Amino acid sequence: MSNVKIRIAEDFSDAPGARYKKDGPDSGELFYDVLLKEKFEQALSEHSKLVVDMDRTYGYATSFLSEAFGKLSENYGPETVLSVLEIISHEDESVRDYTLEIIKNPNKK
Amino acid sequence: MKKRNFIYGVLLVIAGIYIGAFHARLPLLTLNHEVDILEAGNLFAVLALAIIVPFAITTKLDIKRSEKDLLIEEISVFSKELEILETYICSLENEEVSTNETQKVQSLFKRLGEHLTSLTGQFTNIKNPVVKGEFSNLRTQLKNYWNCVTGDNGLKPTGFQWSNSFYLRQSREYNKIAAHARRLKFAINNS
Repeated sequence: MSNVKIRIAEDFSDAPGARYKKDGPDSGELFYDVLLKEKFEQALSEHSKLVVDMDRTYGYATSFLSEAFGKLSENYGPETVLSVLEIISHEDESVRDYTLEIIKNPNKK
Repeated sequence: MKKRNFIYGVLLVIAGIYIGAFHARLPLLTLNHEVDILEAGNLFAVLALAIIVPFAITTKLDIKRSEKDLLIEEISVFSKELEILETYICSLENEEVSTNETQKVQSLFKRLGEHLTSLTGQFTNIKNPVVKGEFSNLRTQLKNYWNCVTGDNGLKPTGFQWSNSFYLRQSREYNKIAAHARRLKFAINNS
């Protein structure tokens, strides 16, 4: 059983934007709607992991991370998300730490 | 290396026993009875310590000093990049912020995050609680600054209105993180 993968830089954008679609291109809301939700549900149904590779982008706005991953956590619950999701961020560990923090406390978003 | 040292040690002891036994049977070298064998031993021990101890201590201190200098230098580079970021954010004042400009801010934050990620590996071996605490504070403060500038009330490609309150908030967070970086350098230097 292979993992489901999202490489944000290649599969979505190498310059992710802000929170909402109205804030500009490649927002966290758009990322959730077109990619993250679908891949997460695929991983859930296949009982596999969803590996999100966050490297090779120009960087992230915290509003992008909190919208996409906070919404995921709100909709599916922090425990389920943490058990399915695996985050890779070798270049900047603070991106991984911040994302995990948002998943654990989605109300902070 | 340990195995080799052990073998040398064993060989030295065996050689010492043989030399002692040989000397007891064939006293080729006779010591003056006025010379106390313990005092002669002390003399050799003092001479050996006088050579070995300063060498061992200075080598260890030099390594520790150069490690500290390297860490301080890396934090200085971090501080310079932090200043570049703050200057860039301030240069956007009263402008309509574009997608490219928000991307540049995000990439500057990413560079700062990469610096701290690379420093994390070097800080895992440091046991000093003050230094560890200051490093942890620096990471937390970078997250706060990042959140202040790119969070909901921060820069965004469309519809961002520059305000004095944004300028003051980001300036306050910048001052905090710059102070943490200075404190970390001070803590490393005095550890």
